[in-house]
Amino acid sequence: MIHTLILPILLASEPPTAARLLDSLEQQSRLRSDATATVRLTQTKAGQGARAFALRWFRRDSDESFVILMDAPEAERGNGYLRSGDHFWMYRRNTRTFQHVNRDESIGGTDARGDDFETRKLTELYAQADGKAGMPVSDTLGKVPAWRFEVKAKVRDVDYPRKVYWVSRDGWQLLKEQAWSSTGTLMQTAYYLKYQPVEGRLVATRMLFVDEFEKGNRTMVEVDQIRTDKIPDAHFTKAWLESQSK
Amino acid sequence: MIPATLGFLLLGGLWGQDIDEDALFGDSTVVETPSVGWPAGRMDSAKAVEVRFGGVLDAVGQASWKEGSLSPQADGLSRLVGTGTLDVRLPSGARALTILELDHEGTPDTTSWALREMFLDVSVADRVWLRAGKQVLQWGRGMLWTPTDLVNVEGRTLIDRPGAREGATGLKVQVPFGTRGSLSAFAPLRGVDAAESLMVAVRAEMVLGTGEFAVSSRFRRDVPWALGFDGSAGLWGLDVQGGVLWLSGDPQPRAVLRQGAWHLEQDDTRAQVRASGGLGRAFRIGDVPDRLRIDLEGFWQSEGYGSEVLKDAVRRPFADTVWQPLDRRLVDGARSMGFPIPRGIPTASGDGLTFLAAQGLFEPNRHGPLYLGGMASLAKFLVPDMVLSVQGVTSVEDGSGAGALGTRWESLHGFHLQPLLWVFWGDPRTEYVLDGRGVAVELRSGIRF
Repeated sequence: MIHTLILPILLASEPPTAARLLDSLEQQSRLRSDATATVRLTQTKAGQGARAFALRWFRRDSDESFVILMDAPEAERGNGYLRSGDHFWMYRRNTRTFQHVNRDESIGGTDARGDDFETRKLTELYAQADGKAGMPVSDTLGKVPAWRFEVKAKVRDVDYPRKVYWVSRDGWQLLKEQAWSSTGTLMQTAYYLKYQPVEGRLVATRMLFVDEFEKGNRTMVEVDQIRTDKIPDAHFTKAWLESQSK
Repeated sequence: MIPATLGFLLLGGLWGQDIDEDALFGDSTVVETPSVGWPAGRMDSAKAVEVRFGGVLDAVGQASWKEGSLSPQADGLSRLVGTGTLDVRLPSGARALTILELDHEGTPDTTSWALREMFLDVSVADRVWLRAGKQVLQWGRGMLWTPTDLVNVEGRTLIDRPGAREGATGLKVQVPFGTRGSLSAFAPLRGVDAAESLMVAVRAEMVLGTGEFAVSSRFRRDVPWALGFDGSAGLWGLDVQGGVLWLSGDPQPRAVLRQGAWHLEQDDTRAQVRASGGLGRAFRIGDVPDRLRIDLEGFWQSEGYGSEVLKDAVRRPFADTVWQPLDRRLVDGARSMGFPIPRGIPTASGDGLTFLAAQGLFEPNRHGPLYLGGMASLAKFLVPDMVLSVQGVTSVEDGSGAGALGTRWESLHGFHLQPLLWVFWGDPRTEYVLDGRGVAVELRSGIRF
């Protein structure tokens, strides 16, 4: 979600390689400082209307840590997520338990997942797809010129083995991401609509996740009140997360 | 540039329709000017006293077709269980939390309430965390069995009962060491009337490699030593967890049949071990990641009771008079009229189960030496928000068991519906059929707010 402003604008007209784009997206997503923000998720389900979620988000890339703490609605308030390196804990306030797992989960049952709020390890997980699909080609999203290219999973432990990216041509910001299943079904489309510069980086501040499997289910994510103050170590502990919950 | 709110409203109008990418990216400016006037102050602390209330209201109806119950059982029940949570936070970070539960049974027509939790939270410079009062604690590991949990008063069950878990009264101190681990201590205070009866349980937790591990113990004068070890890790795509507890002697009295009578015995030198282990994995089904989740768990204890204790139907004398609990309606009636609450009904003889139960020593799911349990859940079953689940547990010692097959559907706004089919199997007078062998159909519905 975070992107540097130092980008090869001069190369905008020539297609870069997919490997270079992937590497750029990964490097751009790594924060130099801690980040704190409030996030509003608006989830819409077919036939059920919309429901708003609010959460607090604390991120520290120097040791690959983050904390997500649900603030609303009341039924979700107090549920939380803590990542530290390879460790991921989900705190469920109703059972008062931390579940320790080595993978990500959806946030509050929405289409947003834990890895949407942290550094993207793209080059570890994905590589340029075979054939022409993997070659970046010129495309346009609305009024924004973009490079489109496809990647395939390098490892088995990914949610989706195939993805298609649209990256803006003038800044190499991620604009759109399609996630495909191994059987060729489009499962999710994510749109990264707006970014905001913060201390030389760009933070994605408005995203839309579209569940293509369950038509009509969508989640809008809006990031606000971004700050880069140093976050106290205590925040990245189960004790703090539990104290903020119940 | 479209202001964020306007853009959001624009997108809101598009919901329910196909995505119009031209509208989404109708503005060629992807990078916005940063907002100004970020609020001062730390985001993690409230700026004024914050009072919040929430809760759950569950309605439960059950009809059963069972035989062979050892006690009179109604074929149906209806209950309403309401749980209210009051959370008060001060700007300093201190807070108080109270969870009250109100339980109304249709047959018989009784209403009772329980204070499940009430505690005060204070931190010292975000380095030491204190929680004083009645509380459910993070202690041990496991879904059904947590042998190293030396402090909580209510264990986990196959399917969570409606309402909140009962807390343990005491003082907890926790000192985290960054993300690497933490030290915790808990002193239960229920029934403590002198320094000699004070107990302290301690737990050190740390992450190592891909695992999280903990060592725990407890200390009390004239009580056997306890040493526990538990851990969880991701291995070969599996979530692996387990725990083992060593005790230097009986942690509580045991029921023993000697010379034709039931006695209570406590041997402080009878060393024993309790252990649990579990494996879990999520599977991709129909292109949906983690749609199917399967977990298996087992529990073993070296000093579990054999099946003969429950099977013994002979009425035998008790070495000491035991007090059988009174019917709750009698207690409620006496309390409402201001009468003293009798201790119970003095009983001088009975079968093994009566002796165990009256002494508070019968623990379902933890009575015998060996248990196996399993659970599976399938998300997006029939409709997107419905989960199909099947759970089962069996006592290997006596072959009895219980299982539940059900679905749970929860709407976007917190209404839930959960039909369940229970099955209880086993020979007469075995652990899971003490209330009868057969089936029961249950329907739970409720709201969270």
